[in-house]
Amino acid sequence: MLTISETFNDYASRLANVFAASSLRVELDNSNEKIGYKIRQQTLQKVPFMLIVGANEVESNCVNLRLHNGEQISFDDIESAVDYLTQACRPPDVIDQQELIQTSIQALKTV
Amino acid sequence: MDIALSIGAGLAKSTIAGEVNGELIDACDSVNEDATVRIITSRDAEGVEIIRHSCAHLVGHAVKRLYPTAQMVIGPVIDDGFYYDIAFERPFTADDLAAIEDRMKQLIATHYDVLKQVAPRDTVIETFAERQENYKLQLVADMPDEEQMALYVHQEYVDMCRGPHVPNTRFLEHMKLTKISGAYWRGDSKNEQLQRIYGTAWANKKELRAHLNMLEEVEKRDHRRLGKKLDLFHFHEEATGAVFWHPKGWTLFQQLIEYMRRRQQQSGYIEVNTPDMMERNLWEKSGHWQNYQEHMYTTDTPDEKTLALKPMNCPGSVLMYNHGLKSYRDLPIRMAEFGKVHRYELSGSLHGLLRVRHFTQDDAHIYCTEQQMLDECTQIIRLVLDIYQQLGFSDVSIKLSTRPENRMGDDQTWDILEAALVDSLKELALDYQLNPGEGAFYGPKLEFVLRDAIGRDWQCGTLQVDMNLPARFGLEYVDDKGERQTPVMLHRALFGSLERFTGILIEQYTGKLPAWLC
Repeated sequence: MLTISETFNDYASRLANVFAASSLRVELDNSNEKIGYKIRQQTLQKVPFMLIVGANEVESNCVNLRLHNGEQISFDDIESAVDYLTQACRPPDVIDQQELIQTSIQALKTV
Repeated sequence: MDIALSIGAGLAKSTIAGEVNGELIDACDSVNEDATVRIITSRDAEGVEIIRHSCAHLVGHAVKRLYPTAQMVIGPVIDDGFYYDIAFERPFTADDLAAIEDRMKQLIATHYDVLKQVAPRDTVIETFAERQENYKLQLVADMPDEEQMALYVHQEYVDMCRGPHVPNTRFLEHMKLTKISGAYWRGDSKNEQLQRIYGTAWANKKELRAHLNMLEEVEKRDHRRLGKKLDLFHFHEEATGAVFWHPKGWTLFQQLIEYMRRRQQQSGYIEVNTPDMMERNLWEKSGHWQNYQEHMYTTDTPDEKTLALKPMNCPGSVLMYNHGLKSYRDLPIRMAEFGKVHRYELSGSLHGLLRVRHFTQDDAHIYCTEQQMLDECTQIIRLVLDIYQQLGFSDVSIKLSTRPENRMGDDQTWDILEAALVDSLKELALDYQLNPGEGAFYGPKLEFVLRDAIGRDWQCGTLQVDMNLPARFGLEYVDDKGERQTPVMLHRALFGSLERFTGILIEQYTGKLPAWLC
C-alpha cells in the first residue's frame, strides 16, 4: 500500500489493518517519497499488487489496485477489493478444492 | 583426410576427424586396412566435442603467449564447452579473460594447421621438461605404461592428448570464454589451488548465440542474485552452507510448508516432530555411524555421551513407530515430518540454496504391509505429480534406480521391492528411465526430475522402498492372525529439500512469484 502524500497516512494505515485482518499480507509505504518513485521501487521488488492511497480513495472509499504488469483495476468499495485480492492470493490447491466443491454442488442441483 | 577428399573437396574441407570401426581418429591418421569409416564434421555431435577439446588447447596456446610463466594442467570437454586448469602466480582477472579470448580469436583467424606427432615417452618428457610444464610431467608419470603419446602442436605451443583434434583452427571460430573459477590439482582440496578458465564452443554462429542467450537467461534467473535483490535471504561466512531467511523469503518458505501440510493432511498423513540430536548408539544401529560419519556433526556432552545432529529423519521416525505396539488395523501409517537435517559437505560443493549443509526435508515414512505397498507407491506418485503441476512444473521425468552391487537383503526381497515401483508406474501408465545399479544399499528408488521454464532439469522428489531398516530396528505389527510381522517402510520427500525447492521456484519465476507465495 503506497500513499500519495503524508496527508493520507492515517487513512492508509487503518485501511492496511483491514486487509491484514482479512489474512492478506500487506505492507505500508508511507514514506515521504514521490508516488512514481514508490511504484518503481515496489515494481523492482516484484510485489504482485500495489494499492495506491490518495485523495480520491479517502473521499469515496474506493480502492485502486495496480498489478505488477502496470495494469490497473478500480473497486468502488473496500469489500470488493478485499474479495478480489483474497481470490487472487489463493494457493493452487485451495483453488482446485473450491472448484471441486462448486462442481459437486452443481452436480447435486441437476439431480 | 584422403578418404574424404576422394568423396569430394567440399567434404574434405569440412572434415574434422574420422571414425574407423567405431574409434575416433585424427583426420591426418591413415587407415591401413578394410574398415567401416565415417567422416566426422561439425554437424556430428562428436565433431562439436572435438571442436571444444581443441578450443581448450587453444586456451593453452593463447595463455602461454600472454603469460609465459603459466603452467597448463588439464583441459577437458564438459557439457556445452570446455575448461582448462592453469597454475599461475596471480589470480586471473576479467580483463585477463578478455585478453585471452582476444588472442584466441586472433590465432583462429590465422587458420593455422594443428599438427599431430606421436612421440616416444622420452621425447614427451623432454618436451615438457624443456617448457617447465611440471604438471604435464606429473601427468606423464601417472601413465607409466604408455610407451608413446600423441602431442598436438599449435605452432610453438605443444599439448599432450589422446585426441582427436581439429586439423586447422578455422573450425574453432564460434567460441567464447565464459568464466574463471578456482580448482584444485587432482580435484583434492588438500592440494595447491589452480585457476579454471571455462569456455563454450559450437559448430556455427547460430548455435553459439542460442547458447549465450541461454547463459544470459540463467544469469538473470540466478536465485542468489535475486535473493539479494528481492531481500529474501543471505548467507554468512560464519555459517557456511546455512541460510539466513529474511521476512519475505521466510514467508515463501512457510507458504510452501503450509501448502505441503494441507496436501498431506488431505492424503491421510499424520505429522510428527522428532529430536534434532540423538545418541551415537542410534546412529550405529541405523548404520549411519559406519557409512555416513564424514557428513555428520557430532558433539560430546559433559555427561560423557556422544550425540549427532540428524543427517536424515528416518531413525527418528523409526523410534516413533516403535513407540507402542502396532496392529495391522493401524497400517498404513503415513508419518510426515518437516525435519531439518544437517550434512557436512565440502565447501566447494555448496551452491546458494541449491546445495546447503542445513536443510529442511518434507520427509515422510510410510509403514505398511507388503500387500499395501503397491497402492501406497501409486498414491505417492500421483500426489507428487499433482503437486508439481500445481506449482507450475508439468514436464516431469522419472528415473528408477535398481539394486546396486553392494546391497543388503536377498534377491527375492529386491524382486518384490523393484516390482512394487515398476508396477505402480505401469498402473499410472508413466514412462521412466532405468538406472541399473543406482539404488541405495537398502532398497530401490524413484527420482522425480522437474524441467523448468528454460529447459533445465532439477532432481527433487524421491520415493524409496525399504525392508532393511524395519528389520534392523525390529519394527513389528500384529497381523490378523495375531502373528508378529515386519512392515515395509517407504521413504518419500516430494519437494526434497525446502531450501532447494525455494531456490528452484525463484529461478523458475525469475523472482516474480505467484501472489500466494509473496
